[in-house]
Amino acid sequence: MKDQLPSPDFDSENYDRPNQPWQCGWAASGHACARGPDGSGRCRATYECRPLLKKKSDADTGEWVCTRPRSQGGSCGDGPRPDGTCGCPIPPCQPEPSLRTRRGRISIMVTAATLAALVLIFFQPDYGRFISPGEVSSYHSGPTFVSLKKTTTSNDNCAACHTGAEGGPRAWLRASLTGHPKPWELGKILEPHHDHLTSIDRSCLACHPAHGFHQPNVTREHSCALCHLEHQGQGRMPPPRDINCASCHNHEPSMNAARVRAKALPEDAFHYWKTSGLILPPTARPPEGFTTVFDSFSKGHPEFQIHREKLSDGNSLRFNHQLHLGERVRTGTNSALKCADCHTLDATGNDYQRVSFETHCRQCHSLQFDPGQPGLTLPHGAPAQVRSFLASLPAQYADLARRQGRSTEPEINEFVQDQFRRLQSAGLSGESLQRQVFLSGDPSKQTASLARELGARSNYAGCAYCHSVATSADSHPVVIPPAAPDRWLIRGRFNHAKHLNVSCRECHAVHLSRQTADISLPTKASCANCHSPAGGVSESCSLCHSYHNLEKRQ
Amino acid sequence: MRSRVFKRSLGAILLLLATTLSGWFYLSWGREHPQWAYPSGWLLMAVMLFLTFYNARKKLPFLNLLSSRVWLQLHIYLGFFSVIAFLFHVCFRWPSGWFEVVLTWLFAIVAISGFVGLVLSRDFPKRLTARGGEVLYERIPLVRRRLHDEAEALALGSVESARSSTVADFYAATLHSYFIGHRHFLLHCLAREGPLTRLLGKISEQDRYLNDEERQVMASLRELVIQKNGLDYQYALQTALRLWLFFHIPFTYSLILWSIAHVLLVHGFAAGAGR
Repeated sequence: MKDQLPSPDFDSENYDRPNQPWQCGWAASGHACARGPDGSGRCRATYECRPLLKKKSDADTGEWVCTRPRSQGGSCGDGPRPDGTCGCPIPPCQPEPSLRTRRGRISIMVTAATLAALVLIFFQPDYGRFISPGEVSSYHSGPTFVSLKKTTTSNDNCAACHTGAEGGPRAWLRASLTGHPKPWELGKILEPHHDHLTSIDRSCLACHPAHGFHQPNVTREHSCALCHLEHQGQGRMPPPRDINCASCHNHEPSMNAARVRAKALPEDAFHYWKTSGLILPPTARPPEGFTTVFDSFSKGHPEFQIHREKLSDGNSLRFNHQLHLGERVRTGTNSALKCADCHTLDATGNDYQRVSFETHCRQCHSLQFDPGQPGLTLPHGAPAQVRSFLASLPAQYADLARRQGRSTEPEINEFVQDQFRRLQSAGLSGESLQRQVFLSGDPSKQTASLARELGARSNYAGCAYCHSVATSADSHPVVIPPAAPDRWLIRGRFNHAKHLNVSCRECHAVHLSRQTADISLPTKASCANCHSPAGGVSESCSLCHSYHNLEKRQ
Repeated sequence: MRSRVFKRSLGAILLLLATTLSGWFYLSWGREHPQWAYPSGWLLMAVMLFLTFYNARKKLPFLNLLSSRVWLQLHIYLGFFSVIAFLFHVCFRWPSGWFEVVLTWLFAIVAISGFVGLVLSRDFPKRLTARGGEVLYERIPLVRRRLHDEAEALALGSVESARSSTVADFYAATLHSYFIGHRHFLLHCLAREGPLTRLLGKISEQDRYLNDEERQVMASLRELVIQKNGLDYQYALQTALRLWLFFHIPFTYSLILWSIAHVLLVHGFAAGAGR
């Protein structure tokens, strides 16, 4: 230790001791007494000096002498009193705590206040409201959840999920010291436990038993809390983050393991799609499954299977989008057809409803097989009904005659005979008429002789114009039922309502489609134009995909 | 000097390395794993306890654990690192729960007061030295009293010697309150000299009403005013150098207590979170 010499101007007589807990009450006004208060803060002021009795060696009495030090003014003029007491008493003061003492007191007060606040928080019945790290989502705080999982120990129902919280503050203090991992078990704390379930996960599973469902070849369990973050505010829980998906889909070993496991699983294991009555395209599972390693939608996400495998629409219905959206086809108001004339959103706004003949086609394709009597139309939907209709054609004409105001039997019979004569003169009767109705697909050859009397709107071509019509073993025509898929993207969801600010043709190039086989689905690149960092729209996995696929589970 | 620069550079480099390492862990592992809160929280707790121990170390001088200077440097650099560790721990989110909001505010108070203290302790001593006229903090009241007594004696003495009460009146109206206590604490901390300039201006304005003798007295008073201003400057800066600890130390204890409660809550509510 170095010896420190006092500085030359060090005043040893007036040595300040700032570390002492108390200081003279007169210090603030510059009149601090030399003695200062004692360690307990009591003023020790008495007199400025202790007079000294000076007496000669042979005398019994002497003279009291002032002993005030020079630093405090030296000997006073009046000197001590006759009784030997100092003539300059120091007025007593109220000692004040030093700066350090004040700081210590404030520290103690703040610490005590903190302890008091903690005790108040922990030992009052509504403690959950204070210690919760955030609002619980509406799913886990609503009346339904509370009725299912109400616990008795906490007003905030913490123990419904946090089993360690059951029993109140003392219990979770004990749980914190005895649970797994314990606070000092750093090794276990650092151990990534995302590949197995936790006790909180088990609380989740009590209500959500389908936790583990994803692809059957997933090789490890996932903690619920890994993706589903609670205490993030009221309302819905936030969707899982992309990094949760990327932890496997951008992780080569995980994808390799999934690929290996898939090979060991029977094919049936992957037949878990639930159609809910929807018509879905028959897309086979890719040989490698969905194990491509990629970073994000815009970076590495595989092309949609329909484009990647160049699939085509197997619908038997013949439809030419280009023709219908072109100039030749006009609506009743003589305007070109728009997409929305046939495609209308369902109640949710997510998807489009099926196109129906009655609603969307009949207005133009009215099945007026007899141009001479446009009021008589073929039924649509079942070939047997059409055959029955044609077999009962006299009755159908008679019914038409009545609808047109002919009331007497002779009038009706004459009308029916006239119609048949007209059909026969055109070569349409019996089997030829049925063949013409079902099998003809060329509008220029159908009822051509009578067509000119009618507008193009009534120009019935024949079932085969739109449908695939075959002949059964008993020579009856059979219409192959059309099957237009309700959804094309079956492994992701798409919300059309959120894309209504974009015209249909920006994504679906239907104006170029002449064949039913064309699937006018946008490519991944088309979506990534917007859904990418460059496009500025979110490309989050959860926008389109759901991990659990509950809605598709069988 | 070179040694000090080297030590500071080393400290800054180590801080940068620790930040980079923590950032790498956070980006590669922490964002993905909710249990990131455990290692990052314990690291933060350890750093905070070490920082708190600095105060205890000062009170235990008999412990031969590195020099106080080394402790201070460690305290400063680890203090900066604790802020970074805190941000990584909370994943750069402002907490929404009441308990954690209080914890965050306590941490913010301690961190900000520490940073303010660092700035003050780096800047104010230089300013005090540059200004000159250093006075021991405990003796400032004594010096102020002397200045006050001297000024008062001059003012009262001028009544008899100059046979005029102009100086005494001016002293009573303007200067007495100036000499009796400390003035312009904040403005001195901000190195603003406006009040002194205004007061000297008022003294100069008196000049036309004074005779020669009074002018000499007023010149002496003017000198005392300048000395008092210097004393107030010393008082303000030295007080500020002590005042920040009134926030930093008490709230540190509060923060540690709240953090311990936080740890118990986290482990209590996650009890059984492991296998």
